[in-house]
Amino acid sequence: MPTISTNIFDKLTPGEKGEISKSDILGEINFNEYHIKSAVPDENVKYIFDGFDLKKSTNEIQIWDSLKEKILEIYKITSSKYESPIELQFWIKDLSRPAVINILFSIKDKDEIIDLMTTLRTKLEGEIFSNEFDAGSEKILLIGFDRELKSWFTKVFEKQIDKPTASIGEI
Amino acid sequence: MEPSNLTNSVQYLSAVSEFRVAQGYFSDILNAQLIIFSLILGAIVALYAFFNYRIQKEIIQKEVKKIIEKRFEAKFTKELSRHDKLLTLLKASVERAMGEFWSSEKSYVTAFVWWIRAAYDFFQGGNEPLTRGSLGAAKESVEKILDASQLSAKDVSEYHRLIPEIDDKTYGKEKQLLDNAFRNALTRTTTK
Repeated sequence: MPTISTNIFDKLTPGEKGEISKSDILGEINFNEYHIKSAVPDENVKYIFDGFDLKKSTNEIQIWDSLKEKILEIYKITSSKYESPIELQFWIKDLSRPAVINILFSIKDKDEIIDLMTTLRTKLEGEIFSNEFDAGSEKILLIGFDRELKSWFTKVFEKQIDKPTASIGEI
Repeated sequence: MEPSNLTNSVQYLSAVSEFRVAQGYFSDILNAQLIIFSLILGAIVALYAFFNYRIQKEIIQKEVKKIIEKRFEAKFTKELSRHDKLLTLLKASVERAMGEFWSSEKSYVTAFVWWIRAAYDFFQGGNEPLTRGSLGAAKESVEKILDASQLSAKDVSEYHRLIPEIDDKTYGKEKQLLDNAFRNALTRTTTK
């Protein structure tokens, strides 16, 4: 079952938790607390998505749109909890593929969501699921959005220690 | 003397007199022209000398200015570059101190980012041992991160942007070890 975790779980009302865990297209979502394994508290507001089939989501526009709507919903609920503007951190993991995918980005404004999700889908479709990264086993892909360069980047981590890691282009 | 001879002599003297008058007249014209040409020539020579002096003066001034500017620029650039390097190294030292501080506070995510910045700036400042040391410290920090989800998008972007800037030939081994440690950290992402 897809899971969404957050470190502000206690701040949300049961109604808000219910809204986040409900989706007609994505199915039932297990929404729970993100337990931080650290000696110091994490000050960033984080949402971690796990168990979402990214390839299926990328191929089917309806699923992708639902994912986008979910992120927008989360942003609206979370930002209503704070008086000043906040930056939400999103980490999407897909362990179902031979190469583990980690997607990391932050959102400061709800208007950014459409652009970010559109360019992310283009990147996944054209760069990740269309070449050897999908088939390459035991690789870890880190896909991030660099706010300074305003572009997505991909870093590929190979399993073997002696093999160099590679960086591939930005869109 | 016969009358015909007398007439001839008078005519001759009259002709000589007319010739002298004409000669004097042309001589005056020639003198006047000579004076005018002399004045024009003098003026041209004077103007030439004047402009030549000015041009030479300007050329010398320009050349002197160029030499002074060149020397100043070379010295200034050298000084600026030296100060720029010193400032970069100073910045790197502050970042290193921040890395040490956050490591001592057991905030390894924050320490990791400061070590990455320190490594980059020590590299830019040309300090090889401290570049190696900072890359090693960044690796140690990332090894102590219990959950990679603690890293923010900004932290990871800086790691991805700065580390490739550090020379592979000299620091390839350290960079590889850091990448391996980062890879292992990614496998420690937990949500439950």
